[in-house]
Amino acid sequence: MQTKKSAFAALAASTALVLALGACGSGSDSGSGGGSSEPVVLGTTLPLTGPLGIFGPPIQAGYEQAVAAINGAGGVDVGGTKRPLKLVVKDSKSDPTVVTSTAKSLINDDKAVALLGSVTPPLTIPFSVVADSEQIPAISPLTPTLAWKGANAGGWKYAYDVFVDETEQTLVNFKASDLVETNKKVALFTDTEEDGKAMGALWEQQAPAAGYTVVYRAEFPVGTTDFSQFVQKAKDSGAEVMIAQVIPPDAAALWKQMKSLGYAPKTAWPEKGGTVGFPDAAGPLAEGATVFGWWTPTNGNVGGQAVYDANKAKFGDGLGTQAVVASYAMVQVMADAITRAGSTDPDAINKALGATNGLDTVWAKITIGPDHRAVVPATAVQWQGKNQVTVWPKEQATGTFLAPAPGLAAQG
Amino acid sequence: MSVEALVNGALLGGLYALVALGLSLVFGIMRVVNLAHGIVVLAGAYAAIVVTRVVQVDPLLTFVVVGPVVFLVAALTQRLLLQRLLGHSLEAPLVATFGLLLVGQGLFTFGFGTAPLSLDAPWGRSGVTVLGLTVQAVNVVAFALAVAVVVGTQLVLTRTRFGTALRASAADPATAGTLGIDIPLMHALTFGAAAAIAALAGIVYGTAFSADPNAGLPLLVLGFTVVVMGGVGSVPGTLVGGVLVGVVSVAVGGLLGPVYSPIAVNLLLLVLLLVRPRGIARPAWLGPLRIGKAPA
Repeated sequence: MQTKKSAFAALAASTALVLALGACGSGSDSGSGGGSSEPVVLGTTLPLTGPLGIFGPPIQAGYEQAVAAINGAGGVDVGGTKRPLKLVVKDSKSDPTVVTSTAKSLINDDKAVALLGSVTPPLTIPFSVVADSEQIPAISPLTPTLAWKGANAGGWKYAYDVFVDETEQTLVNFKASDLVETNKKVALFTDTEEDGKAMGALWEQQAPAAGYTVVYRAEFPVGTTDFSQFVQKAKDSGAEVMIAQVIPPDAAALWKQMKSLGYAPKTAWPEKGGTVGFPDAAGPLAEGATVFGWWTPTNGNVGGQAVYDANKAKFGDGLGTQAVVASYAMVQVMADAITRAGSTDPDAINKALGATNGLDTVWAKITIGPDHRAVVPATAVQWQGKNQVTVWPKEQATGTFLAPAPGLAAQG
Repeated sequence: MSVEALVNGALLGGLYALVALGLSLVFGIMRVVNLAHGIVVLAGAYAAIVVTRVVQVDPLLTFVVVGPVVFLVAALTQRLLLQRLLGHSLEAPLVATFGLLLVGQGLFTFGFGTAPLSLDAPWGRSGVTVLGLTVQAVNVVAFALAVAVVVGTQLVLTRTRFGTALRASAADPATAGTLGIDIPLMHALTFGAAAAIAALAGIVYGTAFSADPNAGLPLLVLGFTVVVMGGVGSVPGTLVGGVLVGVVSVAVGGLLGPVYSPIAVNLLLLVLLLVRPRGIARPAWLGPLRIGKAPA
């Protein structure tokens, strides 16, 4: 009996340990005002695990590299004194409630004077709510700005979002599809998450003006595995442009079923789900899958190519590395605001952050508007092998648009 | 909704049955609700991914290696961990298997990252046309495997001395023990075999869809749904339950929209529990439903 009790106690302890390990983060001390030599603490809560866990590591890399670069140059200038930046990272586990708790912990326990965000509205919106309620400036990359803006009708006070505008983003699918000859018929596959609904509605709204007709739309819950009858309907509709807004596992299943059932549209867009690591999820079917991007070497950025090249081997030639670049830029924007504020007082930083105007970063030239958004131009990138080649806009393209999407069109 | 779609749904039910069968066996024989079952399914997929990275073979062939390895690990886990907890309390095996679920999820995240990974095979990305109906080849493979495994398992349970011993250990473990049946050994073999079947399901699942560390819980829920519909502990019932889930999902998805498919499946489950709480095909030899407190 003693053995049984010991085994159970050990198991319970290990279970508790597993749970505790999952929840814990690292701590740090607070920064303070100008004249101090203490580190300036920046906090971030990232999806390092969970369904969106694929996005966390490149964002973390961008933040860490930018902090290291600034510290390597002596630190951030606060009221004439160079102070080192200290980054505290916590795992949000892709869970909005954990985002809230970890963001609060970063402010209250780690004494972060400013926060850096992550990806997608479900994570960035609760993060921004904490920033506003705790009155700590926070800036996020990689979250479509209209959905973020629309989540707070009264307007964000301390939170900022830098990314593409969905109205422009949804036009990219049509403008890039104009590069090839299609029948202009579109099939939409959108999940029932916030961004699935919002993006689906935007594609439907934008299609007529772009010269396209949405002939079929399937809506389904996240985690759907059997798309076969919807694929069949899309195929029957004759749509030669297929756009999906789905999470990565669902995108892989959808692509396999399109291939199995012989649906090979001229252009195929696994938005969100096909962003990073799609060849690992869909195998050879990923070839030619296209999604929107947000950085090119020639979009007017300053120093972006060096950051991109330094990370390409680890995060791939494509959006994974583009996420590093975007995140790197967020630290540049925050550091610039701290310097212009001349203090680590959150209100002063917030005021300076809102006044960011034409700042050269590794991502693009950043100007924050009165609605706390900074919109960067969207592009289109296509999976070609293990890389994502920019295929639109044409003047910034780094490769040729392959159509019909070879992975779906190939025999066998 | 087309006949083609319904046939695809029914065939996909074969995969659902493969996922559920091990869960049903463990509960039927050992009276243990294995909350780690979804992770075992994923273990099969990830193990096959590792093997195919080393040797480029069809994912199904990896079962030659993956099946025995998973069997052995599971049987050892049962002997060294779960066997000690059986009979200790109702909660102990539940907590243990929940712990295994978390540990497995953590290990897969650490080893493979959180991005979905896929097994690639020609039958995972092609269709077959029979009588003018185009269906996914992977669903045909899944259904054929499910039928073979279900029939094989049922034959072992009902036509062999080993099966008789297993059924005896499930129906009346105390008496079976006095007759010389090694109950712990029966449980270890059951747990190992259930895990091997789950691993096979994982290989097909990883080829049909993809594997990611967070898929364990949805797979467990799917397995439970199929098991309860078919009849807990019933081997043929898992096939019936799987096909039912597949067909209802497709039918409701086609008629009302896919958003309503999971709602309809779960409503059907509740109705079945009300009118036939033993499930569609729970065998009489299993006796009344009871959880835990099997003899150690």
